Amino acid sequence: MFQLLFSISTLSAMIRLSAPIALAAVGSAYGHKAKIFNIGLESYVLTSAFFATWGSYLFENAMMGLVFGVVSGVVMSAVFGTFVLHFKSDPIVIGIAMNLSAWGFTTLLMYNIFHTRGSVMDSRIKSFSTISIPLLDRIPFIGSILNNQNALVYLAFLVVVIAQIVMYKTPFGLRIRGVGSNEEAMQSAGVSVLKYKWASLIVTGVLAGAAGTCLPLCGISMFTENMSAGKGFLAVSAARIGKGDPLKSFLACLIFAFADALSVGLQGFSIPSQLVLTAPYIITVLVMCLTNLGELRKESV
Amino acid sequence: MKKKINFKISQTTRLEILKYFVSALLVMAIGSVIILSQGNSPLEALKAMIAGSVGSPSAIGTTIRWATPSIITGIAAVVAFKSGIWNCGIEGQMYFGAFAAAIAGSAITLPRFLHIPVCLIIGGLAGMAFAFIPAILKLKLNVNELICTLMLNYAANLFTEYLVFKYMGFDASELADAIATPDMSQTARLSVIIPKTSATTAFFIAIGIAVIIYLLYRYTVKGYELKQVGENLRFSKYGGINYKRTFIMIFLLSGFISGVCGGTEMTGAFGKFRPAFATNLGWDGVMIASIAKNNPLAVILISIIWGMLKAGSFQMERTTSTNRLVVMVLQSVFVLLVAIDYEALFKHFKEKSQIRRLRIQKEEV
Amino acid sequence: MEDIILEVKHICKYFGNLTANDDVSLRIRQGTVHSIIGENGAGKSTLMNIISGIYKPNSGEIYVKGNHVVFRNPNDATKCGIGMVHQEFMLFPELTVLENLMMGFETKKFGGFLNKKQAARDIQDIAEKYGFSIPLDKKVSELPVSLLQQVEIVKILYKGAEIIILDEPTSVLTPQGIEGLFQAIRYLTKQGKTVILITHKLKEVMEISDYITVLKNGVVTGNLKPEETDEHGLANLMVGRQVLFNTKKQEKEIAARDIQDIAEKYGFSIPLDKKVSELPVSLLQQVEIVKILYKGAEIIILDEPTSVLTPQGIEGLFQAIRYLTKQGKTVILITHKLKEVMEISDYITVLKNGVVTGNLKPEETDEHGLANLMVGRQVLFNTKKQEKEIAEPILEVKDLTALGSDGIEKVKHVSLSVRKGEILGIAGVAGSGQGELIEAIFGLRNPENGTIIYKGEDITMASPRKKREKKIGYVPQDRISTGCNVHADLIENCIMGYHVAHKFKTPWLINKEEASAFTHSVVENYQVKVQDIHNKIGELSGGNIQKTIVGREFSQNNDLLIIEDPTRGIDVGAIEFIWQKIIDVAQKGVSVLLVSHELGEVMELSDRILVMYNGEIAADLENTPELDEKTIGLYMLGGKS
Repeated sequence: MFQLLFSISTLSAMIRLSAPIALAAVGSAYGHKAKIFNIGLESYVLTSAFFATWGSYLFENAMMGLVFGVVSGVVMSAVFGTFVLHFKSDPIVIGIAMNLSAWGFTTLLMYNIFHTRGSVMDSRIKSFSTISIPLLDRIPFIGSILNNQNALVYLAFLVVVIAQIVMYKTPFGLRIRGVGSNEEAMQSAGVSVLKYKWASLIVTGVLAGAAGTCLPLCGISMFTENMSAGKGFLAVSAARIGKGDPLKSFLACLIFAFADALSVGLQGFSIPSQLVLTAPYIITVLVMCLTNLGELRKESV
Repeated sequence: MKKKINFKISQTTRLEILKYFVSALLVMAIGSVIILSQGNSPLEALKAMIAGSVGSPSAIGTTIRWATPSIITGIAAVVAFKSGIWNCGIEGQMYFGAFAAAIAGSAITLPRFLHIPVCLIIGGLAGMAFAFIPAILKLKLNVNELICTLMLNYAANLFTEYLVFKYMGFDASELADAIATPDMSQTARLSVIIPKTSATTAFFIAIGIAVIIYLLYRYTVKGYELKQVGENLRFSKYGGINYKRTFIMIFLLSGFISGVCGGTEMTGAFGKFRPAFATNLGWDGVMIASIAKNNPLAVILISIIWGMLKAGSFQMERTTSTNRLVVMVLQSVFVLLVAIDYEALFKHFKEKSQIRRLRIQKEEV
Repeated sequence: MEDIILEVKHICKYFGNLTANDDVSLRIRQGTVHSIIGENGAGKSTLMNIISGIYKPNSGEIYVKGNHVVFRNPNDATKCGIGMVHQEFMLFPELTVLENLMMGFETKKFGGFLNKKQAARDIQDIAEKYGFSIPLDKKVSELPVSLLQQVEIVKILYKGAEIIILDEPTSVLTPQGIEGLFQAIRYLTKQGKTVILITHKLKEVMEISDYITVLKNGVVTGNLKPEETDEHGLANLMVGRQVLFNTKKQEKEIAARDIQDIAEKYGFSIPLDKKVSELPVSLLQQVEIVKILYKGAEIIILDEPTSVLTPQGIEGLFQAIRYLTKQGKTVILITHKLKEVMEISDYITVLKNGVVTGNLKPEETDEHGLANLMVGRQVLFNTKKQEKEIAEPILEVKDLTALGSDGIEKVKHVSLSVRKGEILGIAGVAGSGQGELIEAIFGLRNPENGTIIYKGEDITMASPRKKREKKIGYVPQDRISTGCNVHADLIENCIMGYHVAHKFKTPWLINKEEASAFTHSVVENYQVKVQDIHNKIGELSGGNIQKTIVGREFSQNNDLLIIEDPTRGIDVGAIEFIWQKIIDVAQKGVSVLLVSHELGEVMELSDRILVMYNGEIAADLENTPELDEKTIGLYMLGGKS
């Protein structure tokens, strides 16, 4: 069993499964830095998963699926932003309400458009294909883990790197961090707080949309009811664990994805599947605890 | 002087009522659009909704049946939210409570007057025990309770399913429908108040819980402390409130009530535990609490409306083939609309028009 | 030579029903230090926020170098060369100094990336030019306050500011720090920059300003130069205890000759053709007196006439009064200044609470006697400096160490003791560990090390609840976030702590009658202005909230009161009131541990003064009259040890 833990198939699955969480987590990291507690991320992921499926189905083209997914992610973000930034609603309440309506909404649309319940499978839904990187396959162990992954997985890696650079090396990133640090100071620096909160929301929307696209179009080419199954929440906690740092958030995602991959691998063993499936959630809680161990000594009064 | 103040309050209440009214109208309009898009007549759907919720004794029974868990989970949410704790794990706590109550109902033999309370209390304690995890993590490690409870919800759903398997000795090949704990004995079942429906005396238990919590906040020192902790934690610590104990207490109380809700579902409508039985009941509570602005008595009112919507939605689906998820979408849209801070919105517009005026002034100069 | 660089005309700004600025007009000359003074709530900060583009005025115009401008946001103001250093620093604690300075004004290099090197070079140049030195790579949260201020000033200079607005810059500084700041200000103006200084500290105003504008209740009440006035004159304009003569309305037409006659007759000389606004205060007073004489007054009532005058002015006024009485006029003088009463009066009537408590002649009494009649008991002229019998200590802190919220040791091996009936003051620069010390003593922060002994009992680790039960009260520094719950009504706010320390008749039910009776007693005894005790405390003014908090803590028969910055940001009347209450409770034998960032407050009230520096007690001083601010200031900076 120990061999299974670090087998090529588990690690390769980890990389594959990390992509959607990582994309959403990097998006959430931008929200986190701008001090927007966006629990509605789950709804972004679910909605864009559906629209990505639809887009791919309509055009029989995975790329159009991505476009649909990203646009729907941005639209969801716009809804969230309108309520939270302009209508001054409580972000948590809005997030919860959006999550619930997204579930009902996607299921309704699924019924309206595909006339099925539970899940959609259609040959017209096209996934992204895997990419073989020329030199990577020569490297023995790592090559077989990293190579031949889905295009979206590589996109996710790219996004993590770009996000890290944008966050720390550009005026845009500086301003996002500033908004979260001290809004009044931001105002007096002549930078519109609202504008950059919106900007961070748009980034979150785009990336969460891409994350949603990963779910149906990363090979399985199907959409199921409530498909996100907490991926958005995982992403939010990853961003919190990483304190809004894209790279650190990504590392947290890898841990979650590893737990996910394990639960796939462990199903062959005699461990009950229900327990195995709880692994990602339990591990998320554990990681949150571990990263907060420092709080134990600090008596926060 | 006093009269003037009274007038002021009544005006804000009037505005508040107006806000709910307008939100309801908007929700109906959006609902009509969705129903139309499904190729059905909104009017027919509405008729079916009314028929299904209050149109007959059995319809009223269904309404009460669904209002009951809404009240209890709503109160569980109010207890937590009022003290500023985002316990979104009501659903998970409910699963544990329901499982424990179902086992207690089938495995123990007791006279009726004891059996039901024992089931409910065991359910409550199980919910409480599960709520203890996020509570202690928040207190000791400052783990965000919202995310923690969300994660634990998923875990609770899966874990209780596992427990059922373990308890019943099923293997994985079993059909999903068959997966359940044994039937609870009749001594552990609540009486039905409207024949041939699932409306049971659980409804009165639910109202009792709501009233007790209302009295707690209104008249007791503990209730005062709970409220202050929610509104200003620093002030409470400074004022000598043992916030750690209060904090744990709130979480446990909320968990206990959630567990009791699991218990009433078992002793009332269900009679045995099925995995994933509580489709969104916990979230209903969260929505209701936020609409009721954490007022325990308002929770009862909103929950009855919630029950009507749910009961009506079944009828609507049967007679007009409109998917009943429409109702769920509309419920959350209502939450969204009620969450709008109209006052802030108004101020914003005023400022905007001011800037515009200044610019016009400048151009004139 | 001195061009007008900034002019505002007829600025009005309302917040709901509150008028923050009412028809304010102002001219600022280039290269000068222009002070805007006024009490808290006078509208200074609002005006500055309008000038720096943060608020939009309801009406009025702003001209920069003669051009009419409308600021949509602070950026517009920055482009016009206006920069503001806010009272609460506008810095990003999690970012480095360099990132802070670049924010909103980023230097970019190829590809749109930040060019930190270039920015760092530019900033160093500016800092050197104006004599500042700041570390660019450190995080802002790691720097001391005085450096933060420099960072702020450099920031606005970096953005090309010509007009620098400093909002209450000295409130966070030590006397030495203030001197440094003033030097920097002088240097800046020499380089042609214009400085607008907002403050309510008159001494500083007189020292540094070229021009002074006084605001009161949103209205400009004076435009002066420092040489035309003195601190008293300014205070009067600020507080507006205007010299109220017994005339209701001004006559519009004045026969100049008659007036001239009258003026000459009584020895006044006033320029008739000058605008009133151009006259100094002492002349204005003469104008008023002449005015009522012109109307044929026989009895002249002067209400607190000396509060606006300099000593010389007072002398002049007294001469005039003597002259008037010689001419057969009768003068009624209303004042609370006993020295003057003794000097000028023929007869004295003392009023107290609306009742006449004495009718005397000056030769029958002395100042103490009068004071006695006024206050109704022996008045404490130098109570504070009086020797008190040394009683047993009620609170003893030994070797206390505590960490700040950031995990850094903020209180280092502090030992102190408070005796019964003693007011022990703790002075120190903000952030020297006073807050953490107090929190540790009250139980809001767990000490790392050391013991706290109260009435012979070890209470080191006791919770605030236990401490309240043992009759320790606490007035926290931050009244909004710690001292009260703005969402709750007055009753709920007043019974906080009371419900722990005193308990209601039934231990788990709130006795509504008892609760509202206690609230009423607080409201009445502490003069809280509130319509109904069911009103939310958040609707009250800062001073009234503070009075409620003080009342709540003082009314519970506590034996030890820990008081932190009791008068921060409240108006003069409330300050006096709260000071008096502190002195009163100490007289009754209650021990007081007073922490204040206002050195004056500590010196005014304390029997003994401890000075904290960098988490340690730097000095333990008896508060004798010889003790001066400079000495303490030096300790506050760690200079003497």
